[in-house]
Amino acid sequence: MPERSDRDYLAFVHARVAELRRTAHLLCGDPHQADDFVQETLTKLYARWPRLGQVENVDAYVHTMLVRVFLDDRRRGWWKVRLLTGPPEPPPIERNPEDGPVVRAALAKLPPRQQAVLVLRYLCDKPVREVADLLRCSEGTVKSQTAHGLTRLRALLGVTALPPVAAVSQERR
Amino acid sequence: MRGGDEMTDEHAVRLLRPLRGEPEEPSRIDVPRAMTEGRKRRALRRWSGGVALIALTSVTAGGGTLAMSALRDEAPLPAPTTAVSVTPSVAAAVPAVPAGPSGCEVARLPTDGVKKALVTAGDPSGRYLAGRVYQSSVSTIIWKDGKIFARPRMTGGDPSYEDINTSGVAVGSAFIGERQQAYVFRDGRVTALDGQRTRANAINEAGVIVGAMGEVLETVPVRWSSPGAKMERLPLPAGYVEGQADGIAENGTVVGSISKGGTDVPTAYLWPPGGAGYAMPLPTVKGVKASGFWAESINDGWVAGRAVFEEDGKRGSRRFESLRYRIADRTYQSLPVNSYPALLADNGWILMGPQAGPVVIAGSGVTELPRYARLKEYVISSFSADGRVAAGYTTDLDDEGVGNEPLLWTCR
Repeated sequence: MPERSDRDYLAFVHARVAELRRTAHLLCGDPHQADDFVQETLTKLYARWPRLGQVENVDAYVHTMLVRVFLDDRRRGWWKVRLLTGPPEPPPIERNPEDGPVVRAALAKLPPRQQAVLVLRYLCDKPVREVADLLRCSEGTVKSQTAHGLTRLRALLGVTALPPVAAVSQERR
Repeated sequence: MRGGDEMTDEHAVRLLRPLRGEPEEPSRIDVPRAMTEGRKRRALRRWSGGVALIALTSVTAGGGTLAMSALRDEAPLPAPTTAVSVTPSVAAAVPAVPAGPSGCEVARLPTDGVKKALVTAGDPSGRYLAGRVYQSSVSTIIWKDGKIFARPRMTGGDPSYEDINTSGVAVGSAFIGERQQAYVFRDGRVTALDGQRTRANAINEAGVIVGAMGEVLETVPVRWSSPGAKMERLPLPAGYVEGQADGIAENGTVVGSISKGGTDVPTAYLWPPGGAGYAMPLPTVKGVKASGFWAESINDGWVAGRAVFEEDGKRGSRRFESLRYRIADRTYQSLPVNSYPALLADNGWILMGPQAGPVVIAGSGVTELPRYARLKEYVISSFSADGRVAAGYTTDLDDEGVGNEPLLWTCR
């Protein structure tokens, strides 16, 4: 009889690692860093595997771990930036706001939780309720972080007016 | 008409759309390394006195010689006795058994020059072993009498054999996409077992195979009465929705576990040959009743595993006690070493795999098996019926990540 715990862990990882990589990649935009985040998440997951029987939804639990790994990393970077530059209020970027690296650079200037909220809601297509669960906060907080994050992102990208929506009305299910 | 929130959502999706995309580079994720480092973090937290075990999937069991009529007529099963059974207190230590093994030697199994390999299963005679070798991709290997016997090709990713019998018939599974598929290796050929989303966990000498079917972490127990047989679902007791069959004894008794799903702690379930299944009673150790028992091995008279204790109602904290369970009188006995897994031989010896190195328990005696090349971390995967042959592998980190050396211990 094999080791059941390791077998279950491996089965879970095998089934979910692609989605974890995808989420990590959307969160940070860097494939190497994304793999580092997933690596750390899987390490934490294995360390905690014996007590996961008490977790209702393992998928959500692991995604919460991944978001925390991301936030921990970003917070370190965020505080470093603030210490070096003071509270940043950079001018709007005068470049194409539909250029991936430009948007990524602007997003990276947001506080980490706002980054996570925007990515989870609008790139991972997760509903407010689920984002609130992942971040262990209220739905109201998710909505306010979304509003603040979007306002700031628009300012950074120099998008002052809301663009027409007709072209994107099919984007969301 | 759309509300303001929806307008905002659409604008936001458009704003962030340039960031959509999949990671295009090959994955650098090293799962064995995650396990090795995770194992160390467990040790630091002093959970369970070493390494810990979980059955996220609940598990139930279907018997090798289980009466087929019981499966067909779907007669209601007696409710598991988990919650209401008389809790047997842990009785005396393991009774007298032959003195432990002597003259033990360790050897690395041959791998055709491949550096990294594991042993994942062994047969009751100790002659056949099954494992995995890591080259550009993972593939499986069968050893016989310490020599390479076959390099079977299993269709799918991450292939692994979980058990093998003395005829050299091995069972295991691989991933087709994100779903598992159970396979059997016999007479030099690998064939898929009947059914989809399956995994095979154990086979006995009669060729009865047991395992699980379903999505990962949400399986139900299944069995195949022979390698060519149709898959059969094993009924779960009332109120239980998940399970898997983990092991099968030569007399047909199957062990697994069952769960009500969600946060319900999975606990061990036994299916005696020809009789109704029952949940193993929950042991009481030092006055505290366990919330579950997780089985790790079975033979004709015993089940070895660990009792699970929730710590003072604190969510997320558990401790474990290694015990063995005598099927005949439904009593537990404590083991002198607290670790996992505990693998049973027929003479009463038990192989246990603490990270410090594998040990053989014989009564109250503990015999350390020799280490290989001064390596420190071991996983055990097989113990022969006579207790003279053990197999496993190392998990020490080397310059390139986790180094795995497949090992065979032989004793007199």
